[in-house]
Amino acid sequence: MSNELFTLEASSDLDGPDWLKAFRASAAKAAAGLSAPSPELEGWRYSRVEEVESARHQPVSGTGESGVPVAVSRYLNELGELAGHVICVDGQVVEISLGDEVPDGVTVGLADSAESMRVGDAEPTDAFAAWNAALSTAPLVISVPRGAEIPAPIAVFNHVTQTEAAVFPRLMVTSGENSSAAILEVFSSEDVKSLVVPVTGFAAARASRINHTVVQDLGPQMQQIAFAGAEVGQEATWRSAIAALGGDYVRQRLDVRLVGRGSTGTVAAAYLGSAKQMIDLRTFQEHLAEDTTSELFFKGALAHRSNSVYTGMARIHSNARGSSADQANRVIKLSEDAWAESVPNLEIHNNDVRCAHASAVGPVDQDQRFYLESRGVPTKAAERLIVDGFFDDALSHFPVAEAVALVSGRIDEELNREVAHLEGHS
Amino acid sequence: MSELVIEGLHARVEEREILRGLSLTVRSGEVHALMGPNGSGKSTLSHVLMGKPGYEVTGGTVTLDGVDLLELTTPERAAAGLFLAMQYPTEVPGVVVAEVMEEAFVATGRDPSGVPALLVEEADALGIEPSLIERSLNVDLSGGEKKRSDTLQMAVLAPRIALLDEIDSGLDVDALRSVSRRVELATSEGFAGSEPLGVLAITHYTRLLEELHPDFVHIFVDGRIVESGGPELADRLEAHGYAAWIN
Repeated sequence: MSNELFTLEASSDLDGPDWLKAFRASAAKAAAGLSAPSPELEGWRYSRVEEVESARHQPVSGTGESGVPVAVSRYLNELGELAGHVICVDGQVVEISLGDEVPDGVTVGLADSAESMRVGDAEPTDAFAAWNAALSTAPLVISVPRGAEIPAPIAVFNHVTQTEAAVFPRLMVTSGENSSAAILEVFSSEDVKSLVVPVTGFAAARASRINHTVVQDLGPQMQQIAFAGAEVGQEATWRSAIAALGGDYVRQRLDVRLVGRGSTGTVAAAYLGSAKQMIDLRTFQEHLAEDTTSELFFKGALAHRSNSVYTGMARIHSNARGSSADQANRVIKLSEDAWAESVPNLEIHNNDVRCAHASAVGPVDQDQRFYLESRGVPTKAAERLIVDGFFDDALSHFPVAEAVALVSGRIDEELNREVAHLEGHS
Repeated sequence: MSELVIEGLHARVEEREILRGLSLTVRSGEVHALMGPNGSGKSTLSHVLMGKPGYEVTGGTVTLDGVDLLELTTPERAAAGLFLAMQYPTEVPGVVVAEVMEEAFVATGRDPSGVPALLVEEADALGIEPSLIERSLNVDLSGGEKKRSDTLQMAVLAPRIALLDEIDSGLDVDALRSVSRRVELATSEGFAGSEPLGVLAITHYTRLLEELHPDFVHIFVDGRIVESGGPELADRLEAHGYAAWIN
């Protein structure tokens, strides 16, 4: 067995401008030097990463067709008003659209230099993310200049249509001083068995405000290993949320680095597992300056034999006096065969801070169910109300309002499918 | 005319017998006060009657209009006309009262379309802020707000018999008065043309009885009723405490 996830040839075979080829070639050399992750490593404990057979997945670049997939059109309809969007299919851009209301100077498009490929100091370090730099075929850049305020979200769609393909979406977002933007990422696929390895980086300059939401709605056979990271400057705010709905083995790592004094980073998640799915969530809240605030609010529900892993680290560095960190992960097991691992961690190197963490894994709360039943609500309806309410609570923390109805609708559909299963599980 | 009949009820929790032969009948329009010291098993009675998991009935019968309640699930007991206002109403994040009332209406074949208007009307009568009914059930509510919310739900559901478990705890004077007024009105007029409500109010203090005038007072000690009488029994209790009834 090779510890190399992909090959140097896979990288050099890809088309693109010379600067990108050179960038990828150097990234491939670096990636090839990293060992493949395994569950023995701290950051991959409990994961199913050993099931990711990267050799079976061929890095691809487009389908040769230029149409917008039906699935993506459907999302566009559901999402309503957007300021702009980018549609990528199998790692190739098929459409970029930017509305008239977008302020001058905002750029949305393919990266055009090695410098624009950088994700900042939130640069990922694991091998999959390193291979993203080596194999990315359509790296995107969204840049919001100083003072610009984009009135509606910009959505980036990544859709996979081919089977046994590997796709490496890459998005770099920079916000200038006092600017504001909302970025929505949607990952979807046909019912194929492929691998998606996205990397998304944010650099929020002083007093800028970025809202970000990921909707992961992949087909049931898909695998995903995703990284998103943000570096948040002085008085800036980055609010992010993940809806993890589809896929088979799906991993998301989220790093927020609060590097500027008074900066804020929040992350929310709503995740719903079914079948034999595993949702693997890893977070880092790094407080690297004074008076920084982070908050993590995750809620998940697991049906059938699905499982979830959450490990989170909130780290207050010695220079981060006056900071505050919150972490909460709650999981409802809808089935006795589901299991969840939930491990929040705090590491505090300064005394003048406020930290809290909470973690809970269990079935539908018995007291809540009895309360609703005592009003005359039948058991199954009571459980459904409780689970719906549980997710509504999580979605109230989602920063891109336009995505909430979409996610809520998907969760409803999924739970409706679970009803038959729940009947047998009183 | 409805009738809740409890006869010789025995129940235990985790091998410990809490109810030891309790008998009591509550009819439409009657207000009964069941009074007992802390730890006498008062809340156990309300939980057993409503069918909360974790309690085992080891003897006796409970019927509502001839229907064996002990054979029914909790939602079925509610559908049969029993309501429980809990001592500590449970927080249910993300769930609002209208959804719960609508589900309960659907389960009993009632038209749920009138629920929102009914909620607004009853909330107004109880002095509940309109914004409060849009919030998650009991989440971040004060003790008084929770009890008003439970009373609101009772008024919308229109039960035949209501168990009020320590409804006076955590209530300020104004809230106690508005909750009591609503319950009293229901015991005299019923809900929207239905028969008058029968009430079993479980309480530790005589304070509630000054607002909610009971027809019958029962002293509950050590799992059973040791003396029953009229309101004058509450006066004796107020003067002398429970000591006279505790061996």
